[in-house]
Amino acid sequence: MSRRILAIGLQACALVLAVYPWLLGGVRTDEAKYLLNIPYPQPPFGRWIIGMTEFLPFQELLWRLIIASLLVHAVFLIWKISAKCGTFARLFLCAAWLLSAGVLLQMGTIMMAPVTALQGLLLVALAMFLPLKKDQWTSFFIGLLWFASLFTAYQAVLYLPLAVEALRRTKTSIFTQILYILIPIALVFVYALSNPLIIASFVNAGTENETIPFYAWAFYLVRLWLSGGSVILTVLGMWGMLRHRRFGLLGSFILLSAFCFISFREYYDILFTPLFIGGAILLLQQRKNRSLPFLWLTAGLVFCTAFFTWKYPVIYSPGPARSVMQEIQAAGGTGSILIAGPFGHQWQYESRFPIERYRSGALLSAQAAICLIKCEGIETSGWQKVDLYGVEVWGKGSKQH
Amino acid sequence: MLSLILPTYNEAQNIRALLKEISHVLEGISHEIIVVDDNSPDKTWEVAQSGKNVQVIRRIGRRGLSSAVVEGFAAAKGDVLAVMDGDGQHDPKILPTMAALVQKNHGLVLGSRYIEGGSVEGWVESRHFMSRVATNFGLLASRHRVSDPMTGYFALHQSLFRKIKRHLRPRGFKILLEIISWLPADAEIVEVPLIFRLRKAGKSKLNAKIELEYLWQVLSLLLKGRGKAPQMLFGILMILTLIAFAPRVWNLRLLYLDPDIRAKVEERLRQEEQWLLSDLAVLEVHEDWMKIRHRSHIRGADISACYVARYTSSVLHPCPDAS
Repeated sequence: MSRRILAIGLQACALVLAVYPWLLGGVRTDEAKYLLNIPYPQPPFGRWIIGMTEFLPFQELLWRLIIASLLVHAVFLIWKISAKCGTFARLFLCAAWLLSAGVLLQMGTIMMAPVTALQGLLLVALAMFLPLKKDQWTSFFIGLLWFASLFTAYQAVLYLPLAVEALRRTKTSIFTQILYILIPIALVFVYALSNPLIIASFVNAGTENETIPFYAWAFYLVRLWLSGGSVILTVLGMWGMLRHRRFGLLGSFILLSAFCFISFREYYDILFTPLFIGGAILLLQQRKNRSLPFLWLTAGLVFCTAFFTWKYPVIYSPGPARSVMQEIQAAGGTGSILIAGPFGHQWQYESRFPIERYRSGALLSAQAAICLIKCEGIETSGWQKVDLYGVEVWGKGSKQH
Repeated sequence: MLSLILPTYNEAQNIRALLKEISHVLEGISHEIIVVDDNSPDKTWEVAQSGKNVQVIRRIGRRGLSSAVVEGFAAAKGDVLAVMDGDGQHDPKILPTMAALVQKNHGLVLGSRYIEGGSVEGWVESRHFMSRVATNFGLLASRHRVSDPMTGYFALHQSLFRKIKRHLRPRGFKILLEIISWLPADAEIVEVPLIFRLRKAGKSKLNAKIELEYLWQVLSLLLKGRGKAPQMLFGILMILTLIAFAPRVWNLRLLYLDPDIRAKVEERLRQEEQWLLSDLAVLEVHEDWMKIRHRSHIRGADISACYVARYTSSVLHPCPDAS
């Protein structure tokens, strides 16, 4: 009964965290990529599943809710794998997962990083804590999880040491380990080669920080560590990792750190959180650590999360794309919509008409032009200008917006 | 002591001569013979009782070769358990060799038709082919590679049988396949050549029902995680994934291998300045032209079209195979 009440309570939290960004009125460019199944930069599995629901008018809310729900209910897995810790330690670990900045600030988003983090948490559980049957089907399902993770998001490859450790626990042959681990990696590489835009985005991501000084890179990395576990979980997790020197955890931590060093994104902090949870469980399994002041630690965690939320807030509000597009489409025109200037994929998501880059020659077949920068030649085209939510929009003829 | 199990059904015409032959071969060797008969209408169980050193188990209401063998093993007192067909097609002369090998390595010894020195008398080509297919299919469920997992002529040590008997689900004709699937990885297995003789009298029990039972036996062993079913399934999934993406990579190879062509492709794509790069997919790259697909990603059905673009022209032509 109490478990059911807890589940309902957690689901209510997930609902709040999903509804809040939805109410703000729009998606971010990265979220739009998955909602529209745009084939870069991530592999197809996750975005293909999300893209299948494109026909649903509430697609955005649905996936915000699904991802938020998966993140909150992961506490049941954490409770299970921390069985050897004391009760207060287990409660602290569950709270740490829910309240760490890395996880909390991603709840309600439609991104692959939280999905990868959940897959990482599952791998942590399989690699170190869950009792495993040493048979062929167990190693098959671990291989399948690994394959699905890689084809959901490339960053899953950073959890390779965890996958190896999980497979080793099933006492499978070396040949089988190679089959289940390396072949999927090779295949995701083949997939990347099938879309040149993906390779280009890799190169771009790897070189975009070239001009940033070394100390700035180091600062960003440390920031990700600290926000991933809201300092408290970070310290406990790293302490546990270093003390117990488990290959899966340490190896993944090193790979992830090296990756973030080269390609910083704020939302990568959540990828560290499963590793910190694993390290913290190893630490808190020791009897002497069961009498730590968990209440104070939880309070400290909440304080750090509040700090990170204040200092590095998530910008949910994606701008006026939804409002502008709704107005344009309400005018009842047909034809493409032209946009001048750099813009994100959320403009495509909000549109039921093809989006093209602005050229004066394309005005004949277009219904509207959105000028985020100056639209060359539009003043003499006979089109009329309106200001929609601070955005300069031009439409044909005398139709009123 | 050697305990030899003879499962029988309607072998009254063969059993007497067979028992005589066995007794002659095993003279001087401590042994017992257990005939397990499934209540044959031709009273094979009655004929068998005339043999020397023979214990007869007449099974009423139970049928099946595999279950007969397991029941015979359970009743056996010897430390070497052997089984052969009751129709005389298995040559008893190799029994002493098999028994000695089992005593030595406490493992499994099987009479193989498919190793050097072994053969099958009187089969037509199609029967040979079907046997080969069935043999290879059966090997999928086994972690031990043997040449003849379907032979009905084998011997194993009592201690090995005790280790695996709780796993055995005796069904159909081929109990050896079940036994091999459950043997520990370090079990010793030896094969000795067997000449599979022509049946002297009576008729073969092999029919479609038996074949289907065999198929089901292999599948259920695979589903229980015996053999390599999970690896095979995973391998099939990997191959299908490769088939899905490899042709596209092949069609784009010039893009990755030839910097001049890469530069031409980039320049040509830049000319389509009205389109978003994320809406463009390069499908094929050739020396003078490329094929691209433009898909407008929007809410609702995407609008998609295929084009052929020459590097030296700004015109886009619809793909020839586009409908």
